[in-house]
Order: sequence, then C-alpha cells, then structure tokens
Amino acid sequence: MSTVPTRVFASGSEAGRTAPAAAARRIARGGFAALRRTPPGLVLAWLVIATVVLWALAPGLFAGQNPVAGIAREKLLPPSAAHLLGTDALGRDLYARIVHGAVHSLSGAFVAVTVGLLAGTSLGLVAGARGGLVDLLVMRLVDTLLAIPTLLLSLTIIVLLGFGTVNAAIAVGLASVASFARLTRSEVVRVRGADYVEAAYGSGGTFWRVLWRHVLPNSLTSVIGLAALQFGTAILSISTLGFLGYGAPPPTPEWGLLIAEGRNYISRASWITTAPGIVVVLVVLSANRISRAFAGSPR
Amino acid sequence: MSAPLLAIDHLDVSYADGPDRRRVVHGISLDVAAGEVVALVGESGSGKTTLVQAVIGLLPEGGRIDGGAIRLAGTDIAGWSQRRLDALRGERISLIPQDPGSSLNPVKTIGAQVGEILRLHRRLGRAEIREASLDLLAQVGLSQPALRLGQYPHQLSGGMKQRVLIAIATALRPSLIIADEPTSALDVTVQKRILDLIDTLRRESGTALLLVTHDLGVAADRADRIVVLRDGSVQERGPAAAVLSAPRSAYTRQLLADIPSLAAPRLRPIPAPREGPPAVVVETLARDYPGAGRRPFRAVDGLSFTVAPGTTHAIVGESGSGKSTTIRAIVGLERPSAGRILVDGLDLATLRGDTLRAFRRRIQLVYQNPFSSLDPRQTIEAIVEEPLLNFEPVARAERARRVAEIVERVGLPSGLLRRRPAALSGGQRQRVAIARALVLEPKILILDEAVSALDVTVQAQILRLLDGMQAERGLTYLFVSHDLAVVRRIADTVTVLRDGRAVEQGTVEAVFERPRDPYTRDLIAAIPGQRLPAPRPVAAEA
Repeated sequence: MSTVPTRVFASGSEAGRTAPAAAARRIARGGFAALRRTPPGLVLAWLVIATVVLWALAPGLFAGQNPVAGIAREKLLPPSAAHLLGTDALGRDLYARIVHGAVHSLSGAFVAVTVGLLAGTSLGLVAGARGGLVDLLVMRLVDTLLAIPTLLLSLTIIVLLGFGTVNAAIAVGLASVASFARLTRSEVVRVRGADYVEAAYGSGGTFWRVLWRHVLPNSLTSVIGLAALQFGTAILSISTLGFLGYGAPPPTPEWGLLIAEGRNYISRASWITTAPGIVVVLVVLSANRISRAFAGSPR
Repeated sequence: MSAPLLAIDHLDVSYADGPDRRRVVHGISLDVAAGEVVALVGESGSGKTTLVQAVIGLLPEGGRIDGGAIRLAGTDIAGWSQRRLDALRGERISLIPQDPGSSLNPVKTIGAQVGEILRLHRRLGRAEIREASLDLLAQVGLSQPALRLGQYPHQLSGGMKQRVLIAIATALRPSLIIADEPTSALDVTVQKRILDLIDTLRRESGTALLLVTHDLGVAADRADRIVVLRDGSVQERGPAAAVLSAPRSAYTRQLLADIPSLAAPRLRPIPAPREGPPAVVVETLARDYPGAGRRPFRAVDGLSFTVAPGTTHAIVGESGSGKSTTIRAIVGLERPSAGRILVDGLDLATLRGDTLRAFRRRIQLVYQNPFSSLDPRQTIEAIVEEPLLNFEPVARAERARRVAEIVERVGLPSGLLRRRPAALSGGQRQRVAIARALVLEPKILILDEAVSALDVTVQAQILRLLDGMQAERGLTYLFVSHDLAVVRRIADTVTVLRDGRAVEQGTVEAVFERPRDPYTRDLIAAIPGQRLPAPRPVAAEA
C-alpha cells in the first residue's frame, strides 16, 4: 500500500539534492506566474478561506477582546472604532466572538467533511470496483439515505449521539456520506472501464494493486471537488444546527448560535445577526468557488 | 481568365495561447477553380483543419485570422461577420464534417436535420421540404428514405450518418464543398463507397471540392491537384500526377514512402517458421453476448487458426466483425462460450487466479488508442515499470535499468521518463505502450489496431520498430487491423473475418494475390492509393 508515496518522496529528494537553489527559484517563478493566471474571484476566495483559517488558528492575533465575558453597560452598541462590529445583548464584542467562533465552525466542518469523505469514498469504491451484489446492496442503502432530508437525518443522528459540537459535525458528515458514495462509485465505474486499467490487469496486476494505483487516484479529482463544496455546505449545516440549538451550548461563540442569539434584536441591532450571517455566506461562497476550480482543472 | 472560385491569399491564422498567440497557419495561398478537386494533405497538427475552418468562418474560440484574404469568386470574405457568412454557408460553400458520429444532433430526427437547411435558405412549405428531403436521401443512396426521415442518428450506422451529412452539404447545390477528412472514421469498404458518392454528386453538378485528408492514397485516387501542408505552410503543390510521380520536397517523398499500399514490398523477407509447437492455437472459438431479444448475439462463431512461433498473423475485418472479442479471449480477459484456446501450449480454460496472472507474462496486448491506454497520472517511468512490480520482486536498481533499456530500445529519448503521457505525441505514446508490453519479455504480442490511430509517417516508424523487435527477440505477433495495406506490409499469414466467421485464411501472398472470397476482393479493392506509383524505399529511422 505504501509503495506509491515512498517513490514520490524519493524522486523529490533526488531533485532537491541536485540543484536546490535553482529548484527554489523555479518554484517561486512558477508560483508568481500561476498567481497572475488565476482568476481574481478565485484569489479572493482563497483569501477569505485563509483569513478564516488564521482566525481559527490564532484568534488572539486578530481580536484582543474577550469573546465570552461581556460588559453589561456596553450592550447593543452599534459598530464603532472600539467595537468593530458592535456588541451583543450581553455587551460582548461581536467581532471577537466571530473570530473566536471560527475554530468551532471550521473544525466542525472539517470533521464533517472527513467523516463524509472517508465513509462515502470507501463505500463508493467498494461498490464500484466489486460490482454485482455488493454494488446493489450499497447503492440501495445510499438511495435510502438520499431519500431522507439532510437536516432531518442530521437531527436524528444528533438525538442518537447526544448534543455538542463534535456530535453535530459527525451528524452532518454522516448525512453527506450518500453523495460522496454516489459520486465515487460513478467515477470508479468510469475509470474501471478505461484501457489503462485493463492494461494493468493484463500486465499481471492484482485487483487491490490496480485499485490503489490506477482506479483510486483517477477517481479522486471530482471527489476532492465535492469535498470542497461539502466544506461550505457543512459550515452552513453546522450553523443551522447551532441556530436550532442542537450544536454547541451557549456561551460558545459558534456562528450559527451567534445568528440565533441576534435574531431577538433584529429591529434594534440588526448587525448582531447580519455580521455573522455575512461571514457564513462569504465562507460558503468561497468554498464553492474553490471547489469549482478543483473540478474544472483535471490534472 | 476569370477569378478562381476560391482564392486563399497569404492567410495567417493564430490561436490564443495564454497571454500570447500561437500561429498555426503561415501565409498559405491556395486556389480552387470551379469544378476542380483539390486535396489538402498533411499530418495531424499541420494546420489543414484550421485552414478550412477559417475559410468557412468557423474557427474555434481563440482562433483569429491575422492577415491575408479569402476570396470567394473575387469577393474577400475574410473579415465578414457571422451573419453575412450565414447567407453564404450551405448556399455557396458547404462542409462535410470529419466525425459523422458527433456531427448530427442526437435528439432530432434525420428529417428535421436535412429539412433544416432547406427551411433556412429556401421558402418552402412543409410538404415541399419533405419531398425535397426524400429526394436528397435517395440521391445519397440511403435505402428506405421515407423510414430514415423519422429515425434518429443512433439508429444509423457510421456510413449512413455520413451519407446524411453529405445530403445536407449538397442540398442547395453549392459551388464549393469542403470535406474535412470525410471518411477517416469509417471502415475501408464504407470509405470507398462514400468517396465514390461524393465524386458522383460532384460531377453531376459541377461542384468544386476541397478535400482535406491525411491519406495521400485517398488524395491520389480522387484529386486533380494536391497541396501538401506541414506545420502550417505549403510544402509542395501541383497536379496530382506530378506531385505523386515526381515529388520535389523531401517531406512529400517521405510521406509517399510511408503510405502502406498493396504495391509496397514487405518490410523484410518472410522468416523461416521456427521449429516447435505453434505459439497460438484457436479451435472453433465462439463467444455469445446477451442479445436484445431472447436469442444471444454471437460475436465470434467457430473461428479456428494457428500461429507459428516467430511469425506475424493478421486478423482482418471491419468494425463489428469480432476481431476485438477474439483477441480479448486470447489474452484471457474474456472467457469463450465454446471452443479451445492454447497459448504457448497452455489451455486458457485451465487457468484461474494466480496461474492466469502468471500466464500474462507470456502474452501482452498493445491497444489501439494510445491516448486512453496510458494512465494520465503516472510518469512514463512508472508506466513502463509497473508490470515488473506485479511479479517476483525485482530490486529497484534492476527495475530502473530494465526500464531505461526498453525505453531506449523503442526509440524514446530518456528525458521523457519523468514526463506524463499528456506531454507526448501519439506516436511517442504508442512507443511507451509497446515498451510497457515488452518489459516483461513476453513471447507473444497482440497488437489491436495498434497503428490505426497514427499518422502515416508515424505509422511507418512504429511498423519498422515492431519489425525490428520481432527479428531481435523472436516474438510472435497477432496483428489485428482493418487496414489491409498495413497487414500486407507486416504479416505472414492472415485470417479475414466477417460477422464472426473466417471467410478466408492463408499466407498473405495467397490471400492478397489470389483472393477467393468476394468479400476479401471487396476489401482489397477498397484500399485507397491504387493509383499511387510504386514507392521507393527511404532510409529507415526507427
């Protein structure tokens, strides 16, 4: 199973030894050229995602104020220099809460996508590569999952698993298993019929080796695209669950929870709902844009 | 003398290539007089398709005419808008496209598509259009035209679809027809009938024809004048007879030498059959597929042949004759419904799992399409190395040595080892496929239309390579092809296959010079290039 990665590393280190400086310069030049050719919308999308990831990794660098403890007399202040996005009903700085909330939403989405990707891809791979009865059973199971509305499915799983950020993420991930499995299976079936796969069997390859060397790598391109798309959807779903009270408990500054808390004050202090809402929308759109770029450039 | 029908004058065409532009047509000038047939000959990438697309105003996105003029009966149409060209296209110039399979709209009936051109250019009532469409379909020789009007493209064969496209192209009696490789996707016998049809229609109405082809044989049979293109500029031009009998440019001479034709000699003398049991024995092979009704469809029916070791046996037939089914059964990718196959003395029916895998060392398959038979994500080195990883472990250094050796032997520069297939040309890819097949040192190599997708020059190089490998390693080849001229060049014995049955078998000399079966005679008569002069040998380079 590990032959492929070792070979890749070996060739990389060889190239590095021969001319490290030249290689570095070439990479730098290639990087700039690539940046100039990238559409501006895609650059913006990457910037948004990078910012949000930085928020999640080091929230302290971006927002100095305490996201959890508020100052009562500063409640419901409109955006100002002291509070960039204003304050909420308990006098907590909204900007700080959004920055500190990134880690909850992002890690949740990450867990969700990982769960969906691993479980869905494995199911699809086995179904597509084995065919026959296995395929039939797995795909009917997937059809059943697809027939249930995603939110309802997530809620059901949460009720079984219990409340909490991680459980909400797992629930969202399991709800996306079906779409991953379907896509992977269709890709695997397509690749399995290719001449080079037959040639690999013809040169003495065993089922698992051919699967690992040819079918999996060539099926993954659009699956990775779907994963990026699901990342956006997962943030939205986790926020939805948070909004409904199934996710992280207060006072966690999770994005969905922020939107839910602000809705009581929407006529007096619309920023409390609007600001986190816009952040969610931007992140989801960016993830969408990036996933389209993945899908559009098969390499 | 009045102006020629079509005069292309120093035309430059370029495509957008990132921020730059890449010029693919360099100042080509070309005339077509009324009623004349001019053949535009060149290999893929020579700019011939771009040139005709520019003439008819259908350059793909990013394509642009940079300079020069295209005069149709004296009027320059190079800068015309699409709307002005619309009045011209179909009416005065029409196009017979390359691939009949993808050139008809799959969701519209044949009647709707033939009627469309009449509706666009003529004010005719429904009944008149139907009447005219029926006439057109009858004219291009489609049986049961009334039935065809209501059918959809998928219900027609490739040759029938091309006839429909010809009916559309000739509907308004244009003064110029551009035919862009009209028969490359078709079987030889169909190809001949389609070219005959174009010829007849053209002669009846005095239409000029600009025939784009990669096949000098086709050009020799059909054209009055020939223009040879290479890398977007004209190499040679002149009356067909002069270009073919006394080519002035070295490139044309090379092209002429590379055309496989019946008159061409075999690449090397026939080897004396080696002692020992036959390499491949096929006995009354049959293979059924589940059919549409309750009766299964029999793709191969009672086929038998033997191949002596160290020789080349060809299986010849048109698409659907059962060639592919036969070879897939021989390499053990499919199980026959009946009959017996012995490869190197082993009965395939006895092989299962590991013994079947071990058997694969002895017999390897080279696929028709080098664009789909190589994994796009692997490097050339990884592709050629892979078969070595499937059997007993070979040390890394030893693997690298064997890969380098075979890659060099098939004539690939070692600098390509780290590249991926996308960076290689079709001929180079086919060399990689051959290297992958030979790295295990098999005894038998099966070539499934292995040179059909390649340009003539590349085709000749690959054939020479195969021939050299056979002489060097004593390989046995099973060569599957629809191209009799190629078969003549490389094979020792031949089986002609039709509808899953062998209609004729024997040595190549016997079958080609004294064909007994009418079908074999048809196949031989259909080979283009019978009017070519006997070629002179050119120094081998593969």
